[in-house]
Amino acid sequence: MSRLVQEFTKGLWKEIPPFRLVLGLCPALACSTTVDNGFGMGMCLTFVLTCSNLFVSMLRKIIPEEVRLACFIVIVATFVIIVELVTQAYFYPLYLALGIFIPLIVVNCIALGRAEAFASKNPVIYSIMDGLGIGLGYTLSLMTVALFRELLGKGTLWGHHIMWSGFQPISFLQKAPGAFVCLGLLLGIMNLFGSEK
Amino acid sequence: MLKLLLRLVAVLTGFCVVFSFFLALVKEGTKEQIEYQKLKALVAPAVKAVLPPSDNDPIADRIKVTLEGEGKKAKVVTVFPAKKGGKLFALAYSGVGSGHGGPVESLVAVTMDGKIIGVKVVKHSETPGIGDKVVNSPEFMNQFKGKSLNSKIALDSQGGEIQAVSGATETSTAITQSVANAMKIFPVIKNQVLQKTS
Repeated sequence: MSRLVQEFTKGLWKEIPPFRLVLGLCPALACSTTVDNGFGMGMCLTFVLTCSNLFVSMLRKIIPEEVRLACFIVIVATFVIIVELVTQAYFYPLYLALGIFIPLIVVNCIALGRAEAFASKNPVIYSIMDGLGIGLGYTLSLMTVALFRELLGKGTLWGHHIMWSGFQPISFLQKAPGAFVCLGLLLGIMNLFGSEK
Repeated sequence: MLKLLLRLVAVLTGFCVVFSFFLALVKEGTKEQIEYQKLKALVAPAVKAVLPPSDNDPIADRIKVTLEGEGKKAKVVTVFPAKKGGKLFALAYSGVGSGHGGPVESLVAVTMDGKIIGVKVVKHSETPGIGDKVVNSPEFMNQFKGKSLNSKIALDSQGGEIQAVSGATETSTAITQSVANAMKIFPVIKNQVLQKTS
C-alpha cells in the first residue's frame, strides 16, 4: 500500500516533470499560454501515460528486448490518436488550441521515458500509479507556469478578466522566450526549497 | 537465430494488427461527432447568417441528399433544415460557381416555396481586394433575396437583374452562377428532404 502511494506522489514533487525530469519541454512551452490549455494538455498526457504504462507493463513479458522501443511507440501512438480523435469529437476548441501538440505527444520523451524506465520493469498496478502521478504532476506544472503567463501576460485567468482595468499586460510572457524565463525562475525557486544535493 | 527473428516479426506484427484494429473502432465511433464539431466551428456562422432564427439546430439536424450517381462517385449535398413550430420552413445548402481563382461556394437559404432569403459566400479564392469586394458587399448579396424558382438569376449583362460590382465582374458572375446552380437543384433537394423527414 505504501509503495502505491509512493509511486503516485513521486510524480507530484520528487520527479515532477518538466521541472525535475527536464523532459517534455516543448509542449510545456507551447501549451502553457493559458491555464485552460495547460490543463487540457496535462490531461491528454495523463491519459496517454496511464494507458500506455498499463499496456506496456501488462505486455512486458511478451515484448522481446530487441524490438521493445518499436512496441512502446506503437502503444503510445495508439493512445495518442485516441486522444486526438476524442478531443476533436468532444472538445473541439481545445483541439484547435493545442493543434499539432496533441499528435506530438507520440514523441514526447516523458511517455517513452516512463515506458522504458518504469512500466517495462514493474507490475501493472505500480505502473498505473506512476503514469497517473507523473501525468498529474505535469498538469500541475503546466498550470502553474500558465498561471503566471496568463495572469501577467494577458491579465486573465481561465479566460476571465481579473486584473484592474488600467493593467498593461506583459505580452512578452505570452511568447516562447517568456515561457523559458518563467519555467527557469520556477525551477530556481523549487531548487531553493527542495534541493537534496 | 532464425527463431528469434521470427519471434520478433510475429510480436511486432501482432502488436500493430491488434492496436490498429482498436484504433479503427475508435475512429469509426467518433466519426459522426467530429463531423458535427467541424461543421459547428466552420459552417455554423454562415448558416446562422443566412437562416432566420429557428427552433431546431440546423447543424445537428443536417440531412445528406444524394443528387446523382451511387457509392463513392455520388454527388452529395449537405442540407441544413430550419424548423419553426415543428414545421420545416427553409433549407440552407451550398451551390458552386467557377470564379477567377477557382470554385466559389455560396451557402443559399431557400424557403420551402422556393424563395431565396439569404446568400453567403463560404469558400472562395478570389483576388484579395478585388474579389472580396463582392463577397463582402451587402448591396450585391442582398440582390438575391426574394428571387424565386421562376426568376432568371443572372447578371444584367446576360439578361438577368443582378447588378455586378464594377471591376469584379468575374467574381460577381461566379457568385451569381453558384446561386443559380443551387436553385437548379432545389426541387430535387426539397423532394428528398421531405421524404427523409416524414
